Amino acid sequence: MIWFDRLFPVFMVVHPLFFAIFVKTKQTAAEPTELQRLMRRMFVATGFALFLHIGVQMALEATHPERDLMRAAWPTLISTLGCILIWSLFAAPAMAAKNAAWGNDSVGESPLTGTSADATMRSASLKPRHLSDPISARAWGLGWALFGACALVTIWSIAAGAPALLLLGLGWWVGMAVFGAKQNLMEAEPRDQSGSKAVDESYRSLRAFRSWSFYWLGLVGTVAFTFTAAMVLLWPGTSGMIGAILGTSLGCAGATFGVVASFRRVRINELLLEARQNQPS
Amino acid sequence: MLTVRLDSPVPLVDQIASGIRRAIASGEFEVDDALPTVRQLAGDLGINLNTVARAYRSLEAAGLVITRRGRGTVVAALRSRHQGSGEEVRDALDQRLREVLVDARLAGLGVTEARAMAKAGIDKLWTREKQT
Repeated sequence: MIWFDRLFPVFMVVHPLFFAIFVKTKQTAAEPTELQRLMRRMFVATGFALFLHIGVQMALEATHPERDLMRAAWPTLISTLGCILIWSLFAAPAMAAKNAAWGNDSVGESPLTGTSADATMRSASLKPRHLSDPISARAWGLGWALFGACALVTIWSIAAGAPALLLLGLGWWVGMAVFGAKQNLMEAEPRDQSGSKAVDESYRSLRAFRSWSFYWLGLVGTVAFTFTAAMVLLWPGTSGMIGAILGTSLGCAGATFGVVASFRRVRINELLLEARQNQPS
Repeated sequence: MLTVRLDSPVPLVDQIASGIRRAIASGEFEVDDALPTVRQLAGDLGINLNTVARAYRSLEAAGLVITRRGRGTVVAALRSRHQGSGEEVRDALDQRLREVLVDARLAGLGVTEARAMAKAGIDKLWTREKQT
């Protein structure tokens, strides 16, 4: 798989550039000077990250000309952490500044904070959410049964020579999915005084979407981990690549779900602003 | 729907407790219905967890709600809400009602205005009963 490690440096160039392009293409309603400052900061940070990444790749090329997957993977991992910083410190504030509806805490890096943190009049629904899980008990039962079966197959694969790390990965993945699905019910849902039906329905729909996203990510990930563990034994030459493709696909699916949820929160915030403008003070 | 005002002179704990009392009184909650968790309400209102927890404790002390394992805080049965005999409860309520009316008079409200206010409050609380 000599060609495969070539993909990592390319991916790392595309990754930070994606943030810059995404923010640039969003329509704006911000003060030009403040926005210019934030955008400039983001572009400088992106340029710096690309410079660092290309520098590291060139230095490695000169000092370690032999092709090695791990050699490509480690700088990529470090660059990925750098991309998280670019997103949270530069891209998200610039994006929030571009549109008033995006300028709230439910977009970006703190979705669990209430969107009405600055309002003096705050409203909340008195309907308990902890007892209204969108995922039925039957679906949870099916999920846990599948996890049990997959864990047994993975344990068998490990006993036959597959890396034990896969079982840890499987446990972590399922734990993350279950935690996400449950935590999702407690995400802050600020309301307007009149209890707008449209806002209520949008929150209910977002909750269901997020819970089921976590559920399916957990389920498909469980099968993917088990499949990868079995592939190590059945087809060792390409198991790494298959694992990487499955992992990347799950990551992309997770990111897509997250972006869709963020767009829905933006819509809810717009509805809330609308409803609050119509309510008596 | 529970609404609180951060700029109100009434403490947040009291605003939350009286909002839930109103919801129970107006029939929004049946006996054994669960209230939102402390974390949910604090998150939605964007206030401290301890503030909501204190409001819940005051409702529990008044016998309006109880904590059930696995369900959280639920609305208590009617009998546990009464502190004393039926006559004692009526006397206590009568006393409080008089105090409210005195406050209304001292605030300069006219009889028509006070009557309208009382009627609006009664209509709001007993709406559900009227409908059924």
